[in-house]
Amino acid sequence: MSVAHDMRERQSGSKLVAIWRALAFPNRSTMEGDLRILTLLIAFIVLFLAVLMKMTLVATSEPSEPKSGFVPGSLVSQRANILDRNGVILATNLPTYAAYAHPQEIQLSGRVDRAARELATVFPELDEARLRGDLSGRRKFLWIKRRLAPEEWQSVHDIGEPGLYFGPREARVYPNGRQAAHVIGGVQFGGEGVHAAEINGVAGVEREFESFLRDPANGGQSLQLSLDLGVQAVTREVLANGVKLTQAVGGSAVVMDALDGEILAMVSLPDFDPNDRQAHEGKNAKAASPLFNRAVQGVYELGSTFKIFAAAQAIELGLVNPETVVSTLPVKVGKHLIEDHYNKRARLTVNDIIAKSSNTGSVRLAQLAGSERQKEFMRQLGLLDSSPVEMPEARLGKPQWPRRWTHVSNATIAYGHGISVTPVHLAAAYASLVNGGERVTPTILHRNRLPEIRERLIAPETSEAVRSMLRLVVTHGTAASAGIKGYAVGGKTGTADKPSASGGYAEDKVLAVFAAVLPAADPRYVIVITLDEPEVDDGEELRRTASWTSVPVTTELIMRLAPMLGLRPDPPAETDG
Amino acid sequence: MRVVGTFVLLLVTLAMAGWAYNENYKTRAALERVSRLQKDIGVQSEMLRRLEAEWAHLNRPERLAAMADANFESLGLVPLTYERYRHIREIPVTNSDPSDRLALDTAQ
Repeated sequence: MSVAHDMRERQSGSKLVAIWRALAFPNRSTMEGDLRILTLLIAFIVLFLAVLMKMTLVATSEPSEPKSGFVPGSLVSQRANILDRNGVILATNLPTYAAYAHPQEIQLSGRVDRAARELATVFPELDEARLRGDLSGRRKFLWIKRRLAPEEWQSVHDIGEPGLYFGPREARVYPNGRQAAHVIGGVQFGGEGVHAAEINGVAGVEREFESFLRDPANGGQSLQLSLDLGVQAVTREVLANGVKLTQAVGGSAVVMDALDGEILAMVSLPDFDPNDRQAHEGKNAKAASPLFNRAVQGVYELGSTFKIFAAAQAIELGLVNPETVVSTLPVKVGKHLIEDHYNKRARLTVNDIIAKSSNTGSVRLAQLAGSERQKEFMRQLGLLDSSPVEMPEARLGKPQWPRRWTHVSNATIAYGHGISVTPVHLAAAYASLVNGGERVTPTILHRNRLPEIRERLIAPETSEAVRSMLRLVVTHGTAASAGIKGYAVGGKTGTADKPSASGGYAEDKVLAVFAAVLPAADPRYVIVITLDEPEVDDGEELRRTASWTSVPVTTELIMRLAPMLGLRPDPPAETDG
Repeated sequence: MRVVGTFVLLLVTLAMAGWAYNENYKTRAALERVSRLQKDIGVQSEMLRRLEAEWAHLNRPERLAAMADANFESLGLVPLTYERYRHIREIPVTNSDPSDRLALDTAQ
């Protein structure tokens, strides 16, 4: 630097070019080189200055969102819609308001009494005296109501009090009310501020798919369920009539696609309105509460509907065929003597064991297979684990079965006692048996395609035999009232004594089940109906068995559903040539 | 010659500056319009959501059934049951020309 300094002093006022030459390249002498260096240097200085300016600008300016992007995030609503399989809205959001007050501002205006009186008129559930106390106290903030109906909002607005404020809210609404209440579940407000409140799912798919429904990255994509609102509504209506006619305390219905396990309708009665879920919270004992989902959460001994499993396994293992004759004399297992209530014959074919619902015959079929293999078969059918239906309640509906699967268990499980599962378990197991023998996974989501690889449980020929046995139950057996002209319905009845509170079984309380497959020759749908403590007075005596209760309800349901599901009746036999 | 060249360059620069200035304001106007439109889209989609919810509410199966019942006299609507399905063979053919029936049978 000292060289440069000296030279500048000596040659002050001389040409700039000379300075640069001396400074950078004292040995170069050509004019051309000097100019090139100089230009480059200036160019670099300009560039650095530009960068410096930009940096200053970025560092000191206020950040702002780019405006030219498409669809800003605020357009996407807080929580995704829930749709049925045809796109009908089951759950959506509506903008609404929460009302709050700044008591001190009302005190300043001196109209505390008037505000309290007017508010109490708009909201009859609020206590005027208490409101007056709150508004005249030292509080700075007071919630009045968390969710306003549009007309309430207008009324509060009309009070015209400056100390009353509104915060925007998004309300979750279920336009169909009680339809599919148990599947949807419900929501409640979580963390809350003045300008927004969190909505949390508390049950059903609202809870199960919480993260999906709330994820803004979905871009407003809806959650599509496998339910069909029309089928759901008809199922609910028919079941409600059935519960009423049989004076049952409750009931459940599941309509499932036999091929892919999609649930088209799931009803549990009594039910509730998810728009006002809190009204039912903690009202009854758990299993009697309207919030309790009998279809996926309630585990019951499903009685004779289990006999088909014993028969299917015995046929699959090649131990018997549908025409094999089996003894149906009373059978002693351990200390217990197992008898038939209705069957008076000493031996029946496998077909007739199912059609006439023989306990002793089923026990002998199960004994042929043995405890080990029976347990394994039950596990394959999914009857020993919680059902995989995508609802939190499904995980609560844990099947109950003996830890020690003894020869007594082997015998009682053959006719559906000593093991408790949910109606959805039964529907999925029946679907797996009749659809050709491939395992069905029940689901509440609409998938539109079959899973690629499916576990084979039984051979197609066994499935065929199961189908014709189920058909026999309707044509010649315990479900004869399920015969509908033009439709070949198959199914199996079950009437299980309910466990009594004091242990053992109650004398006069039963759970009546009917598991139907439709059409029997090539099943597309499985329907499981349960009625809890039904009773029908036919003029002679009180009837409780499934043949008198759940079978007629299912028949009615099939008559209504078949056209909706696109099932055409079989053509009548040609009579006129 | 050089002077003319410089002058032309100067003119071009001025024209470019004018164009850039113009574009700048056009862009701002467009952005303003975009934000107005987006607000509009927001309002409209909010409205659409409301209408969809209302539509779903008004079309709920319970209400439709109740209305069909209430207007039974004029509409005569009953729930669809399996009896309403008929095979084409069961349709009485009034003008019973045997060749017509054959055509029906093969058309199924």
